[in-house]
Amino acid sequence: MKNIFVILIQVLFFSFFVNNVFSTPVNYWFERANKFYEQQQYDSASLYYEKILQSGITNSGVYYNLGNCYFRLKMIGLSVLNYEKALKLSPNDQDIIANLKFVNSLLIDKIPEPEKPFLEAIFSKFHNTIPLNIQLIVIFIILLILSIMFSFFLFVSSNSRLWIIYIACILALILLPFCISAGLKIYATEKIFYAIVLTPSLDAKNEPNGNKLIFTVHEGTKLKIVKTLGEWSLVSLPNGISGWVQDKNIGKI
Amino acid sequence: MSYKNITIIILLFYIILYAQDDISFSVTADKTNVTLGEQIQITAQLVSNKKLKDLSMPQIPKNEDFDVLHSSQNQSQSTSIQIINGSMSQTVNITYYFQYSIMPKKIGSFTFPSLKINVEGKEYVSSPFQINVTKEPSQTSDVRISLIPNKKNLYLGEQAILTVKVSQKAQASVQLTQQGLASLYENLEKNLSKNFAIARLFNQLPSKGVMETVNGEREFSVSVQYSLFPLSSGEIRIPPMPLEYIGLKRIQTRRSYDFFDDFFSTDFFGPAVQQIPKTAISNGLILNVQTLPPSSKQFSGAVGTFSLKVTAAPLQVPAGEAVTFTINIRGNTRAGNIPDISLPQLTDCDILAPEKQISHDTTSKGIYCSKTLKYPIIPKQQGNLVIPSLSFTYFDPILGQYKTISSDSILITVTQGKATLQPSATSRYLTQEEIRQIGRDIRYIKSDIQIKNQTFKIYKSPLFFILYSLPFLIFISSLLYKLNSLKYKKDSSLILKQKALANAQKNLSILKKRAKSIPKEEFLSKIYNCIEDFITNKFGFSASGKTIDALKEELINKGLNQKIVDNLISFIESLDTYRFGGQNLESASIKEIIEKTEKIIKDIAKQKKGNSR
Repeated sequence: MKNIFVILIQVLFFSFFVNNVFSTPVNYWFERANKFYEQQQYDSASLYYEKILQSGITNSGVYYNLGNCYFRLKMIGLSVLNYEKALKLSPNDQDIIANLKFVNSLLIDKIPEPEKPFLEAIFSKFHNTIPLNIQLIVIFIILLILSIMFSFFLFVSSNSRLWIIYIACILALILLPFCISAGLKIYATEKIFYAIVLTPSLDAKNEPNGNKLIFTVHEGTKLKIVKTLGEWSLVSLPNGISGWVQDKNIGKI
Repeated sequence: MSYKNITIIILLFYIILYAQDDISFSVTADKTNVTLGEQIQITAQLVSNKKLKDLSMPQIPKNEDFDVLHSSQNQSQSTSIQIINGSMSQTVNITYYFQYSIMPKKIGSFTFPSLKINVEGKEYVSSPFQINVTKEPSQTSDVRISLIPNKKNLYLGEQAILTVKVSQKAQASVQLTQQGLASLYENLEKNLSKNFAIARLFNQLPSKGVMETVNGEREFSVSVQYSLFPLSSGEIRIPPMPLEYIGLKRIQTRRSYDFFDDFFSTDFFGPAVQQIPKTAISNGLILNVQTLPPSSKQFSGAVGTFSLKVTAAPLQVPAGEAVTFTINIRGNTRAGNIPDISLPQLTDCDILAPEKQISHDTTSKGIYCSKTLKYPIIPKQQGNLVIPSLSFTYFDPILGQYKTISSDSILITVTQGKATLQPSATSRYLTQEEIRQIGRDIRYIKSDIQIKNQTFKIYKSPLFFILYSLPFLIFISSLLYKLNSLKYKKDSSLILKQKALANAQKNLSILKKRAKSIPKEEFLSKIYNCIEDFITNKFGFSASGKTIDALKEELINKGLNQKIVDNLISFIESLDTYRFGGQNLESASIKEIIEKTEKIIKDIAKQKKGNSR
């Protein structure tokens, strides 16, 4: 009994020791990085931000700050890459949106997106304005109301049923764009991948190790990854042109 | 041998001699003194008095002195008729021409080798001859092509004019063809477009040439001009360009002394001249294209000489009405090289998207492009609106430096308009203290955030699935409940059957409370009724009015246990002893009867439930 007590004490002590000494001091690193940034030592600041990310932390604030460091170091490609990563985690953060917009305005490549029809443009605005979490909560509430209404529908008189149908139709019309938008966002998060060009200029070829040049893009340009084959990825531009590039020249978001 | 035989032999000899083929083969050159880069036309001529089959072209042996550029083969036929002392004889001559264009490789003299041709097994060999190649241009060439640039050193993006001049000596027997000229221009344009943005001035082939005197000789010449804009820097080479034309040569028959030859060698009686395809080569060019010196931020990207003109109309306008602000830039460049000039921010003004107009003037000095931007500006407030001066920075290749031209600022008087809300806001546009954005930069880092992992995805959490299944559970439960109640409504006996025990227990509990307050007969009767109702509801047959034996039999038939049935029957009989036997019912027994009734009912319900499973 005495032995068990001693072992228990040792285990508790060890776990305490491990938690306090070997746990990653990310807050300390973050403060150090911010300090370096204030002192305009951007390369040192970027090292600490990278260290935080390497410890397994995925945080939009860290990516945002790292993007700022790379911008100051004139590494536009890496700057855009980190802003994009930050935006993926916090899609409605105005600081990230503003900085990304600013850095994008400095890029060499200006690839015009095809013009959207009126309805698509409105839906796109709605899609980009409301964050996914809010959309999922709204969908849940509307579904709950609809299910309760349906339960009532089964037991109330026919006059009341008509009202329930009217209200249910309105709710369904509200529900539909939320569902489509949320579905698209989840699909985009899980299935669609983008990358940023990290080299000053990048030639996209007709095939992996191909000789024919399809197009040339420059640092910071965002590409959609269609397919990956070994060290090569098939990427496409917003205007639909696609070509093969080597993975070492791009940073995947 | 008799005289007759000798005569026959001599006659046969003459016949054989006459039947022999009359074939000659010779090779000539159009000139034997040439300059390096000039072409020589070699003509091998085979004359025969009959048509020859399977005639192959003589091959020029490979050598280091010249290149064979082009070879062709054709033939012509001539017929001569002789009438001597009333007897007519006819001679047919077929001439086969084998033509070669050769170009010497080096200065000096070389021997054009003898050519061999095999005619029906017999080989004919031509004589070799000497050709002299000099450095100085030959003054004797009939067609000359000159590529003449207006400048050989230029800057990237600067306009240069290239004149392509094709000259033909007035007395020369040559013919320029539209096809040959078109081919020359096409080859040249293809070659130029690798390094230049090009435009053909006046954009068409010359239809008429001009006569001019060069070195005392009359020449007919046609010219085409190109505007060139270098796309890359460095030494750009334009190689010599070939032009194919036709040399005209009079046909000479073998019987040159014949009177009729001259008479028939006219156009009226058929082709009197032979057309020989020839090629002339132009000079090559080297243009040096320099990169632009380091530029300031304001450099627009335009290279050339430009003028900037800015106007506004009207200069007095009511608030809410539009003023057209026109910016015009003109310069010797192409349209793509003139950028748009955007207006600076003007306070309390709506600046609408500009209307763009681009026009070109083509002159012998090159292309002049004019870009006009018309901005509709709508002042919102009454007062004086000052449109500040605009500037345009370009690279002037003549000066070799960047130059900035500026317009004057324009004052527009804005009078009170119909839609003016603040008529008292005079001199508003003259205020220089308003806050304006000067520069742009990224926003500052985030320092007051909690560093936590954001990998959590709400749609992947168990709570999401639980919550999202809730509405569907509510919906399904309601539906099932509704279906169940509909089923119950349809089968009321089933409800009675299922509620038999509950009803009986409910009745017994009521009876338990009222047992002391009601007469004993009534109590016993109610107990009996309770059992009767329970059996009726549970087993679906009416128990009232049945004898004890009939009831017992019915219950056993319904699958009830014998022991339970016996207990029930004995209990009913004991009740009968109280009801009809005159046995006194004590208050202690009331409680006992209720409990026993309850037990029997429960046993029956349990047994029934067990059977139905």
